[in-house]
Amino acid sequence: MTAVDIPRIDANDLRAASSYLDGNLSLQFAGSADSRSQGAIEAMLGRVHAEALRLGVPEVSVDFRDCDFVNSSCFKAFVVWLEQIQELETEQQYRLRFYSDDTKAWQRRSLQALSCFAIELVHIESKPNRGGS
Amino acid sequence: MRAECPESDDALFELRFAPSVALVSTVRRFVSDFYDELLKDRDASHRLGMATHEMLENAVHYSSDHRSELVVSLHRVNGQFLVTIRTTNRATDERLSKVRRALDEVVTAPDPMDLYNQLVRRAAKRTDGGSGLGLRRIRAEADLALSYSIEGDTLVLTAEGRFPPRPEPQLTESR
Repeated sequence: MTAVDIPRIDANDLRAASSYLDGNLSLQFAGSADSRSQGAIEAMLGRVHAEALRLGVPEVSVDFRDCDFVNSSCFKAFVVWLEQIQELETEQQYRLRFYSDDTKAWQRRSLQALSCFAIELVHIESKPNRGGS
Repeated sequence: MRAECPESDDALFELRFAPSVALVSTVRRFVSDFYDELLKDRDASHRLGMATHEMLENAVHYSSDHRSELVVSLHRVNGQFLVTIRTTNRATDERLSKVRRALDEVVTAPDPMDLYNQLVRRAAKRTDGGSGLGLRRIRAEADLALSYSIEGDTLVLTAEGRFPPRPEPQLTESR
């Protein structure tokens, strides 16, 4: 596994971590994200963007399946991230693949709004919860 | 905090406090369990919990005297559950003016989801730390009706939705 310089989050009900394995850069979110986590998420996504460009990955995956709630301030951090990708030259742009839990309808609704913002860059995939529940 | 059942099939509680953001999340979990217990619908519970969180977080951020009130009520009306979420807080003239503009835009939007998508684009450009999405999300994502009143320096924000009753799970006979 290649080291990536991306901070973890483990505070205020939210846990988030990244991994880079076999050329795949991925993020996993768990818990709930309210305005206390906004700064940490912005910082994390800023680093993810820099690392995605450094590594030249075609896609970053974001696993929301263990996430119970994302408030509007934290949601905005993902919108800003997407806008940063959109502002890149086409050959530098990378896609975002969001994994949502198909038993949590709210995730699909929230992610749909992101998808509308940048339909060519966002892919949403429903999967069963990792715990199998 | 007060909890009561004024009639056999009604439920109501009120919170009056000087909340922190941490307490907003605690309240969201509590009311989500409350909605879930009464509505037996996980998706509706989450939508209502999200709306409660966004409303209360706004009240916490913008209350001019660091106090907020939350009232949640649930009544049976024509065979459906009518859920009402109401927050009350005092605010500055500047904040009241912004909220009035934002709410008028949401309340009069012919297509809430279309407006929400436009506002997501607008949010990306905002540099004041706010998203401007919380109230719109209640209308578009939670699919609740929003209304408000302003009296003096006091803002009362109300979200309301109707939910069909879900059948109780059938008990299976064990052998």
